[in-house]
Amino acid sequence: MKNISIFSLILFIVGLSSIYSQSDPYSGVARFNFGKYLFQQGDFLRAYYEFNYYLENDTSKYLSAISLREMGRISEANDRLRGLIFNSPLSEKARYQLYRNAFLTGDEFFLRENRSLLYFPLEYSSNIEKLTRFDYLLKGDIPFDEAEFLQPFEDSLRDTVSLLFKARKYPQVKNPVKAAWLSAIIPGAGKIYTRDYGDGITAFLMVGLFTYLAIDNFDANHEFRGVLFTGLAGYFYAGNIYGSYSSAQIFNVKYRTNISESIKKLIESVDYFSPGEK
Amino acid sequence: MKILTLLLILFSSLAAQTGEIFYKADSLYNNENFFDAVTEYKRLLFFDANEKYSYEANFKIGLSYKAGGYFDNAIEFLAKALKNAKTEEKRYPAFVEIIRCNILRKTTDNALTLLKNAIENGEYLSRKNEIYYWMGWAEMFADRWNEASAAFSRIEVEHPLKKFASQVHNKKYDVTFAKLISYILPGSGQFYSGEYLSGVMSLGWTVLWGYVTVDAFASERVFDGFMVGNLLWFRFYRGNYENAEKFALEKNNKIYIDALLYLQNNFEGIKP
Repeated sequence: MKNISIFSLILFIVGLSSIYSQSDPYSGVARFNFGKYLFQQGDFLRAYYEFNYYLENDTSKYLSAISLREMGRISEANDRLRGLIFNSPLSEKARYQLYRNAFLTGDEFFLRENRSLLYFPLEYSSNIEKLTRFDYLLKGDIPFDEAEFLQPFEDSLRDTVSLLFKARKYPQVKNPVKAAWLSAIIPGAGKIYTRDYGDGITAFLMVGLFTYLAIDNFDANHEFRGVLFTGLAGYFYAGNIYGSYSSAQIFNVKYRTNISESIKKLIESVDYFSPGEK
Repeated sequence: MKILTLLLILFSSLAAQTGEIFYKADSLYNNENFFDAVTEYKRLLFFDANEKYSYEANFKIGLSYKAGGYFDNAIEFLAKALKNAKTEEKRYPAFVEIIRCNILRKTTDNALTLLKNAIENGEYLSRKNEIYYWMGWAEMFADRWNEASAAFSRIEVEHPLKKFASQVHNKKYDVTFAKLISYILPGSGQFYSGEYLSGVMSLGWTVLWGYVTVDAFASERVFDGFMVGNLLWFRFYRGNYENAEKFALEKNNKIYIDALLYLQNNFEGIKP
């Protein structure tokens, strides 16, 4: 009976000592747990420092890499993730994060050429396929037909992605040279072509008005005024041609920017593409 | 008995651990090592299962962030400290620090709303003067010197900041007045804000092109009248009143910045 009591006492003391050692706030495990707490709070710099004290643990190494990415230090994050590719239970997650980082940095070679999806679970490989397609959409050079492009996306997203695909593959841009020629033939026509209606009508009226005034003054033998208004008409005419060329360029930049913004909004709205550990 | 002693030793050492973190964090804070101080206070919050240090840790994290200029984070943690404060003695410092952070990050309307709500709800009644004091500071940072003067005068009619705020208010230019007199007499708004050369130029150009315009109409050169009137006279007339407004705004901005700099460098009382 006495022996059992002594044994129970020893067990109790060992248990308590274990709790005590784990609760040492500066032990590796405690720092790791504290790091996770900071990570969840979004305090990535401090989380990263805490994880650094426990790098023998793969999860700690993995979360430190994610913390680095969240701070924009993607190259360092990738170094840590590469260290987890072999002989780690987190190998798949680490490889997946490498793809996500490649997407964030626009590393198209990694996304398109360095494909090793064969040993990925479907959840990851499907997301990587989608990331790769979004990367194509953002860059604009799409080598797929529509059906092939839409294939990895779920039904609820297909209509939206399809619209963006068409806008990228067959962009409705304006030709600056055509706009300039149109304005050379009929002042303002190039601006109408680039849907800048107000400026188009103004250019037509200004060139017309100054040309009329020039002719009228020459007819009335007001040489100086005739020359003055001819100069003004020429100035507005040349400005209208140059303006139409620029207007087409501006139209195209706005068109492409709007599409890029729509793509980025879509990427943000479909949560599985947003940066961060899940 | 032995087990009880062992348990007592164990739990007292666990409590001592949080105490040690608190001591370390305070030491870092006192040495102005705010980054590490925040880490240690956060560690304290994480290990402090009984929430013994909730108020102190959150409050000091808030102050550390404030010292580093991270006012959003500071307000977040000060609000937590305020929530964890059990007595008015602890609530009030957290409340005031939230106000000071709002003043420093120029969300002065937030500060004023919080202060007015405190007065309306009868909170911190024994510290009413301090509340008016921070109201005055919020109004000064909001560039409303007359209102600031009124807030300080509630503490004391001859309060030094009341006098200062009144002086700044009197120095400032009335932007609407500057614009209005320039509508009536071109250049006068610029004279009002001390930009004499610009005032003379404005007056000269508007008079010249006004004369040419009138002369063209008087000589029945209607087209010339319209062209000169529109392209020259009106252009200078519009420039004149726009400039009057711009100069008054620029001067007021300089007065505002100078006043705040003066307070920063020369005022010896409590500052945000």
